[in-house]
Amino acid sequence: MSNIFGFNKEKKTDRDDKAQPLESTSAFSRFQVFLAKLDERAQEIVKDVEESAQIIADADTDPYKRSFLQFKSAILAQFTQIIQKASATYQTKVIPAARGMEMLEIAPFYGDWNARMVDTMQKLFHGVLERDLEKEYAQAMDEYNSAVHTFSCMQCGAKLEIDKFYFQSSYITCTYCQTQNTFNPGTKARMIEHIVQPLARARCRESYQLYKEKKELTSKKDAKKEFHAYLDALIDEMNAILPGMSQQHENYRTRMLADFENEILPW
Amino acid sequence: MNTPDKQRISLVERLKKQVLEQKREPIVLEKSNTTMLQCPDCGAGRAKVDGLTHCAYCGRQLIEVVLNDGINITSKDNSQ
Repeated sequence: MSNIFGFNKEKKTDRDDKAQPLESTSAFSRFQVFLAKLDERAQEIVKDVEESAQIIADADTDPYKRSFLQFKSAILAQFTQIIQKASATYQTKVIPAARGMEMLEIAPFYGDWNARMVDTMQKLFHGVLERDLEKEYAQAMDEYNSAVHTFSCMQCGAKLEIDKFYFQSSYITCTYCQTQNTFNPGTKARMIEHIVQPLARARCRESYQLYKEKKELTSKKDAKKEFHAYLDALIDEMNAILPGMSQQHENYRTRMLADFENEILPW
Repeated sequence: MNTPDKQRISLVERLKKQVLEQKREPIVLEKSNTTMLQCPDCGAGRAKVDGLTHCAYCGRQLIEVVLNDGINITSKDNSQ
């Protein structure tokens, strides 16, 4: 990763700092100037990312958006570097140099700055739609539905009746000669197994929002009814997207309920 | 020395250029298809009613695995 901030040039900076009269300004004011500069750099990145992130995500033709994810992790690394630089300066230079009661001002100021920066970093890619799962699902299902009508029995040539969605290779029995044909649904249909949870969650966003609002207004315990309603909707969606896996989806519901009842877990 | 043009390109722009020009191994998407297993000895096809692991006509073993209960196949589909 390229280092645009010259973070590794600490020795030079040390010498420069020593050359300046340290007593002329307080540790707090120097630290404020330093954080303002880091803030300015961070804001430049935020501005550029807001303009470019969605363009990169859309231009990335890779089905797993690897190029976009590479870009995202590079930006997050830059942000982490900014936060770490501020933290290192605070620990090694500001705290030892602080006089009298100065720390009473510096500590909350740095705490606020750090929290704001972490918050900005976390929300940086929130508005970016990485993968349109609904579109991917619709495309995969369209391809599947138009392909299943074209298959014939390999033994007798009769039309094969593939009447439901198979997301994995399955035996299809020819209704005429009883031969077992192995049907392979193709990569796209197989991939639906991997998007079933995020897709179902996206479809049940409203019931989750209801649960979240009730939880915030009252408590987690009082929002139990809403949580059950959300889980019911979620499992129904998952069963609709991926038939044949209802037992596994029920296991998922059991685990989610156990997590909900577990008071130790924070969510 | 960087030229003035190069200096003007921001970090985000450089990263954007880099990731979009990155060469990636293409992902091969397999299309849906059907296959059929015929007995190599007698040429008979397999039928679920006769069991899937052995040829119903000449008894040759077709697959080595013992089937157990799954989504579409059950242990009853083993040849007797």
